[in-house]
Amino acid sequence: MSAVQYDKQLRSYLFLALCCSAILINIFGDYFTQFLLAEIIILSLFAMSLDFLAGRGGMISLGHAMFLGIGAYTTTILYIYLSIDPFLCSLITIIIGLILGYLIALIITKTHGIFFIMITLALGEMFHSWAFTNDSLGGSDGISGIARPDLLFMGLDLNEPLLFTYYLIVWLILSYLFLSAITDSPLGRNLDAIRQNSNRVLSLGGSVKFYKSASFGISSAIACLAGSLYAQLNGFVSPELSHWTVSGEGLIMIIVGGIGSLSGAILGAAVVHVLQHELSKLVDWWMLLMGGGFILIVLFMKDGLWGIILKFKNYIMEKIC
Amino acid sequence: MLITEILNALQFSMTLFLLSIGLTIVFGLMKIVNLAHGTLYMLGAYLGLSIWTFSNSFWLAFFFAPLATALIGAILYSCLFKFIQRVDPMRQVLLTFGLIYVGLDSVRLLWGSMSHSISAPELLSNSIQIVGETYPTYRLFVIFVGLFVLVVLYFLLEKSKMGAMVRASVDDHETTQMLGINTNKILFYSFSLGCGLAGLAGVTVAPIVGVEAGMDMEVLVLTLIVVVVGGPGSLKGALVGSLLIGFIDTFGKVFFPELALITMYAAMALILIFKPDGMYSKL
Repeated sequence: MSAVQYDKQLRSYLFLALCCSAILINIFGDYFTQFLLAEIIILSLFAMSLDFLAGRGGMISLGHAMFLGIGAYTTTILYIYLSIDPFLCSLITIIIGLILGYLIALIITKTHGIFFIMITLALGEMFHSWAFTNDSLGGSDGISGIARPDLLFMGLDLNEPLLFTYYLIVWLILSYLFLSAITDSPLGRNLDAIRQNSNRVLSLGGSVKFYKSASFGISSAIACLAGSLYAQLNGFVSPELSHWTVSGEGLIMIIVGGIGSLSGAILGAAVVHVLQHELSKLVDWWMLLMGGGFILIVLFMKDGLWGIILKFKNYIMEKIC
Repeated sequence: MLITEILNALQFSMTLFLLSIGLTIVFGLMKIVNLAHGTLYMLGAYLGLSIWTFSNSFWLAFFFAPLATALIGAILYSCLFKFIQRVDPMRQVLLTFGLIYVGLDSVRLLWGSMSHSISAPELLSNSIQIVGETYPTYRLFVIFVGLFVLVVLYFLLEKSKMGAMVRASVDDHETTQMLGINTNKILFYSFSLGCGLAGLAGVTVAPIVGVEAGMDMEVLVLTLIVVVVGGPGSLKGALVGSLLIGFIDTFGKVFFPELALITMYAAMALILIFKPDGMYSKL
């Protein structure tokens, strides 16, 4: 799948604008707004990981929510059964996600196109049904009792929604910096080349398999982090988190935002989640509106919101110069 | 016990076959994976429900619901699918993903979110004895419908002129066009036929599984698995794939109940690892 036009400067400006508005909303918003914002940030992390995978790696995954689930359940197991510090849990989860993603990708990158989508779907559903039937993890009812990280020694009580959202924003900034650094690194360039012509990269001596697996691992690590933070936000995990429709919603977010532009994914996540939230309050048939709007975006707005912003920027540049 | 399970597996396989055949033909012809295929199955069941409540006759529902679904398919093709053939394949998949939402909510708006049931016709509502085991007649009827469609499709695709044209355009779209065959017409009819078969599957299994708004999703994933395992674009693949998945799922549930859903996905993952393009791929 083709990624959007690459514009490093615009990407960072958009991210900065989004971050500033998140902080402003966090300061002036009430309890529910802060909770909604926290959810949006976690979804943004997930959307960014999917965006990196689809936009840079060229791999569309319909099973990426599996890593959300893995992250959330790993955090739960580490905290409840091994009583490890919640902050450490998130770090361990990231490492587990990285390794697991890399190993899984070594096997599944054999397949291409629609077959890759299907095998990720199958893996995701496998995990979902395993979590659904596993009684020691709460089965279909899910499991609760996950605590948020304890930063009281710094005088910060993360059970306060305001502070927890700041904590999430810090993670978002770190992940964004990490992913954008990788996008601009030789690995990112190699991924761009593989997406356009993998045979040529192979004939030039590049290890397509390694690059693809590495990017899959990185993407899964970020998704696992999102899952871990989600578990800490709600204090509760259920198998629904890893259902394939969650991955589908993630794809909707990156399409709305514009595939391949990291900050566009955040914008997409925010727009889609807020629309979902507001429309479901207004009308019963919000899914009809959302589905219809999504179809129109796929048909007529190839680069999503990112495309509009890019056009707007180019128009202004032309006027000035 | 064993015979009951075999018949159950066969019944499940035949439902999967009815669903996957439409999807696989559309994929072969247009290279589009239609994620809204499950939605058409659901529509078939709901249309059957409406006809059944209105006329109180199962047979009317059985004949007219698939026709109505085929009509919806024809409208979808002429309004949407016709225009997206030149679009990037991933975008097409995502577009049909959007259709799932539209379909699900339309059904909720029109029929409400309650689950309904259709009762089987009186002729088929009893059970019969097969080698010492009782088995519901209606399930045998489902197997019969599947086999009937299989035979008809076989003759239609393998022996008729129209079928030859369809197979030719699956194999090589452009050359077929150059030979003076109107491939757009073929696409239109095949797409409608596929949708009609999905509707047929919906109305046929409605007395067994009921009619509810979420039924499209469960079936969609299963159908996709069958198509991918069998190899997209191949009739033989759809048949073998549905038998394989139907039997693995049914017997997996009997022998390893704790792994109920996992066996099927594991089987698919294994097949894809060793045969990345499916068993009888036409690509």
